[in-house]
Amino acid sequence: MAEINTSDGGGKGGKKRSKKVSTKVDMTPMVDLAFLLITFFMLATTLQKQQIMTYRTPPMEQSPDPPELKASKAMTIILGEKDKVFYYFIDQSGVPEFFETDYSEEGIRKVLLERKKIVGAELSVVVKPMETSTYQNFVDMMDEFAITGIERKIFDKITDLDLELVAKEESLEATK
Amino acid sequence: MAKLKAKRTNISLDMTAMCDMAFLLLTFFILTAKMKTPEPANFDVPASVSVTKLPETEVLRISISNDGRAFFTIAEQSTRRSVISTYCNNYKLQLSELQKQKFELMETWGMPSKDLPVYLNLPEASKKNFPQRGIPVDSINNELKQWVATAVTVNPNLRIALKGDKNTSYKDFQQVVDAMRQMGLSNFSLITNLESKPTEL
Repeated sequence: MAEINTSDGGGKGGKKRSKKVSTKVDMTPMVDLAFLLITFFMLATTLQKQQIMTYRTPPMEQSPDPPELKASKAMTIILGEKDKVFYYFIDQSGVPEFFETDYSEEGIRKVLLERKKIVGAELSVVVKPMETSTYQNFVDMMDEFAITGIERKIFDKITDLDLELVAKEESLEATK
Repeated sequence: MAKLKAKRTNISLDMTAMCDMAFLLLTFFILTAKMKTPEPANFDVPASVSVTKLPETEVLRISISNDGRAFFTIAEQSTRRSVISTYCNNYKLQLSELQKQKFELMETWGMPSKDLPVYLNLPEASKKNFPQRGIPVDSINNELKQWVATAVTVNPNLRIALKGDKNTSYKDFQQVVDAMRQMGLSNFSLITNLESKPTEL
């Protein structure tokens, strides 16, 4: 017990005193119990409310003539499997310049920021996630746009041409 | 010379104050507690820098687990009640009154509608072991579309929230999004965890 009785019990001889009853209650077990319950409630409840990110998609029915993207102001990002990111620009001659990067700060974010500096606010980014990419990749990409402040972005279906480019890049990697 | 006696000290502590505080905290947690509702699948939600909070009411949540199963969540019981009766009428699902009442108590479900009567007849204890196969989203039998259409007609103010696991494949996610887009719904809220925003930019 937390309390040790140090007072002398009965004195020698003398008057018979009525025994003093201590009114102190040992609170230790009660505190133990209270903290146990607190711990339980803290673990069993959801404290943090979840955050949301807005995602707007264009409606299914496409307008008859979609606005054309200027190749010089556009870039395409392909989300690949195993957290790989590929991106390309199309130059005047129509030949894509193809690069590979990742989701780190030095990776795709740097690319986006640099491109934004060159092109300005009119930069349009087309993102094409491959079917093997994950939801995490998609959210990461959305996040990068929020961080870099790029407004004009669209998520599109991947084309065979893109897949070909990725395959070519990967075979190049393998031979290196 | 008298022996020097070490003075005996009383080591008792007054626990009353501590006890008061512990119970105060306990009361606070009990009053503010909102119990975690068990979910049929585990979701490891990706993080983002977005700081908008998810509203607690008028949310229709579609969760996609990492193996591609879709789950449907409506938080309000009153909405669920109207949803199930409308759904039964529109899509010829036969449910008894008792089954409908049981349905109202389910916050989340994820199974083809033909599994629903079987699931609702199970005793509470064995419901956890029922294999929830996910709501079909494929083009032949797109039940998710039916559920969403029903929910949106019942309450047009519903906000559509999408929740996915980190490892959910993009294909499954796209399938759900496309189903919504076919109905002309193009505004979504993606549920994420909080992540700190990089400072130097």
